[in-house]
Amino acid sequence: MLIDIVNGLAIGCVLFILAAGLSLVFGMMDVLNLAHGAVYLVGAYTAYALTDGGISWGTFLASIGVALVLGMVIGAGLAGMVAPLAKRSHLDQALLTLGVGLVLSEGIVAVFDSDVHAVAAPPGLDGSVSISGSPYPAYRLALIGFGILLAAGLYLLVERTRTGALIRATVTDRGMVEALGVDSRKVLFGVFAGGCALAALAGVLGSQIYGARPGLDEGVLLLALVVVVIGGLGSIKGALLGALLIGQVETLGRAQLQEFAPFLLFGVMALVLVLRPRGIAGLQKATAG
Amino acid sequence: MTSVQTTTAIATEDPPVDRDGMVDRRKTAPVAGAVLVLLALAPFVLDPNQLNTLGRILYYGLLAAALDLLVGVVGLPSLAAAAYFAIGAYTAGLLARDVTTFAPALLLAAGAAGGIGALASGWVAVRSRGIFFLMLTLAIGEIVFQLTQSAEGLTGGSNGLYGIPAQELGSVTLGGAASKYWWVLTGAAIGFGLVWAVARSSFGLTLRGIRDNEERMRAIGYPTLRCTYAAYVISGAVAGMAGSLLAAQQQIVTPADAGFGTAVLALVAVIIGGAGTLWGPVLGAAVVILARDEIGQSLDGHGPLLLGAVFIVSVYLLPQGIAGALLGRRHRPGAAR
Amino acid sequence: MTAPLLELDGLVRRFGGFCAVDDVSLSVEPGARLGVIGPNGAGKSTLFKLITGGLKPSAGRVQVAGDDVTGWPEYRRARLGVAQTFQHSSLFLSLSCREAVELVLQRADGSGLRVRRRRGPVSDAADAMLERVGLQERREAVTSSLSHGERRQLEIAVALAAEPRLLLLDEPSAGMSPAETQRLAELIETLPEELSVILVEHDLDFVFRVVADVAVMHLGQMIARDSAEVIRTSEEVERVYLGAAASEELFIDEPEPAA
Repeated sequence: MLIDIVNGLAIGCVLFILAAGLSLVFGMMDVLNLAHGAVYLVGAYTAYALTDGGISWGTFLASIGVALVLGMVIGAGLAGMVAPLAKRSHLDQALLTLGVGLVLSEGIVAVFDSDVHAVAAPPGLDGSVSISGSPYPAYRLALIGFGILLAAGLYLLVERTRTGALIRATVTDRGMVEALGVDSRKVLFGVFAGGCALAALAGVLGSQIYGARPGLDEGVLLLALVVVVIGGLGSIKGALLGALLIGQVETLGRAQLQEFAPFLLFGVMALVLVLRPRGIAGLQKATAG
Repeated sequence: MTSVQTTTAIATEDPPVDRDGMVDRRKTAPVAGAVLVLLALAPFVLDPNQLNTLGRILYYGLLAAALDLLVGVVGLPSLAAAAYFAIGAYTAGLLARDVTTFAPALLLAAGAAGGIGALASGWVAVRSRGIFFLMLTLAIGEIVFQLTQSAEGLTGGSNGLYGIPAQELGSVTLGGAASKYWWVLTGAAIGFGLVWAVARSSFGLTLRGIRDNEERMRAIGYPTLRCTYAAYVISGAVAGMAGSLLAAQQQIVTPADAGFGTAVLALVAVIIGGAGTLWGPVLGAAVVILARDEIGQSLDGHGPLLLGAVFIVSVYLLPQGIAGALLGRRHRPGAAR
Repeated sequence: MTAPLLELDGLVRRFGGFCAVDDVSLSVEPGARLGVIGPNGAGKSTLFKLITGGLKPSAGRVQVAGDDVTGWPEYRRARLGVAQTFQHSSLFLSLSCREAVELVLQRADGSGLRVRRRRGPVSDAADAMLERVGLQERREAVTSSLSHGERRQLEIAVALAAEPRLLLLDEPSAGMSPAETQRLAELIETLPEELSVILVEHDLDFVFRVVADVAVMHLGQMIARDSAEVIRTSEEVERVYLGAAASEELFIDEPEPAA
């Protein structure tokens, strides 16, 4: 059972990194970025492509770097594509991101192949550590540690810096921010780019757990959506809490409640939505979306 | 806020065009009649494979129209349509195997099953709006999807329900491509007529009022929750009817019919076709199916790539959907949500 | 003395620690023309919502035509004959004027569900109502294409179409030109005699032109309720609006004639 909990933490970290960007974009623009899963996939395949020849710290870090850059580019591109649709309905924006996501994910499969690929952990982290007598991949422990650091870093960024204040203000009341003379479009572009960079990073870091294969984008997108909705739109703290919760649901929950396993994820989401529609840490918007 | 338009915006010579591009009654009947006749002649012109595709377009089109009642008329984008579609399909399949193959009975039973499914699951969803409603319907869809996979005794699990006998209409067995197609056309026409009648009735006006300003509707005296719930159930019932047509044509039902992919397909068909028009989404379904299945096949199985490109292009070039483009300047779209 | 149409009994509404409506009691007879005035933050909007059902009171009772409606949701009170207009024009942007009025009429005669729409009695009744507020030229126009003043007219048409017993108007003259305000005043004067009208307003000139009685709110309490003349010359009311050291007159003796 301890193993499940630790696994849940590891998955939770990957989900948090993935969901944080999605939550901010959603909270800020009411845009459901349905391409987010595809960006994760880009990161996963980047890791596969760069480490296929042989895993080393060089290739591992390179794949992180490349993924971050690709994520930012895609994010900026998406922001640009969504901008002319600002006055259109949310469905139109969602359709656009869905289309981009499809093109991306199918494009990847076309470029690579439709096999399932595993990615190895970098040297030093590819061994195991003993947890309650069983071997446990060291990489995942490192992942949890990294996740904590990143969460702390993001928290500081959002809560303690001016940039963060700007982001939070734009999420809460975009009109007001513009009235104060800030070009909220730049904030949007930045958040979109940053959010997608995080998604790609999640893809690299999670590739040791989930690998790289077609269809992964859809599964991961659904998880991220659930995390974001449970956690509350536009909230990093919510994304963290939601990710940790879902991480446990996916591991501990499935192990303990085996007959209900496939229903747990969405059952939990439905429950949270009914009890606390704003999500665990949802932010109040000053004006209607 | 739009600027004040002059009265030239009002059609004084032309018959008034309703909002949502629902063309005036005087023009609808002949057009609908012509379309039905053309569709009925299809088996004399198309080969069995093409007929099969057209049949698929028809029942997915019906699904999209049923969904449009929620999305376009009430203003509630939903991802649960596939769930009720599949419930109807499985119901029709199981009844055909064990009870009766009389097609109209299966159509009705599937509709009832879809409606009951919507009744049971919708009461939670209709209390929310916007993204929360969307996510709750997503949850409903995913839960039904999981159920179709785990209730193996009933649904055949992940292999699906296969070996469904052909449906029949008294002495006529719907076994060949043409007879199957004609039944699908009939069923789709009935289902579509139902949704159309609802949308054109005073209840339909009520729903559009709720879409535009729910708070105001309450102030006028409408129990808006009950109204949206009723619309949700009607939408689910017609989706179930579409499911029986799938069972009739394919004679196999799989969990994928309840899955996220089908739900998204239906919603996309509505958006591309033009939400609120009811007939637009049918065209949207045609586009999606042709792009993904037909043309997509020739792209080495990379149909989704073409589909994604179609989505992107249609968002920019068809802001009002296909229906809006076809209706041109006389179309005044429903309030965007 | 006829039985009151609306009775408020010790109404209280708190938002956390803040008391927006503080022990307000009010009685309104059929056919009344009552204006509710008060400086910003006095609690007028909150009181308005407590009457229509948009908000539930923290304490106290609301009675309409003898029925205790305190726990009733908005739509139920509407069916009892309570109609309202909204401060920020709240209409159906994609529907035409005719359709908006038809929505009210079809609910009123019970055909709100499933009856086919015809060009028939409902449509004719809608036309008649639109003509009454002066919108007959615009009957097919989409609401989003109406001017601000026209939207206000439509708001009134929608409110009146239900043939209410109690009509609540939330700052109806806000944003209107003098000509439009004049037309609105005339419209209010032609309202049925049996209908009770409560007007929440900021424009004091307008209020005194159309109502017979005025109630004044301040910091959540109703500090005065009397005829228009008495309120106009009341020093207490002047103090409430301008503060203790007021030197100008709050109310001009003669209302300005409309331009």
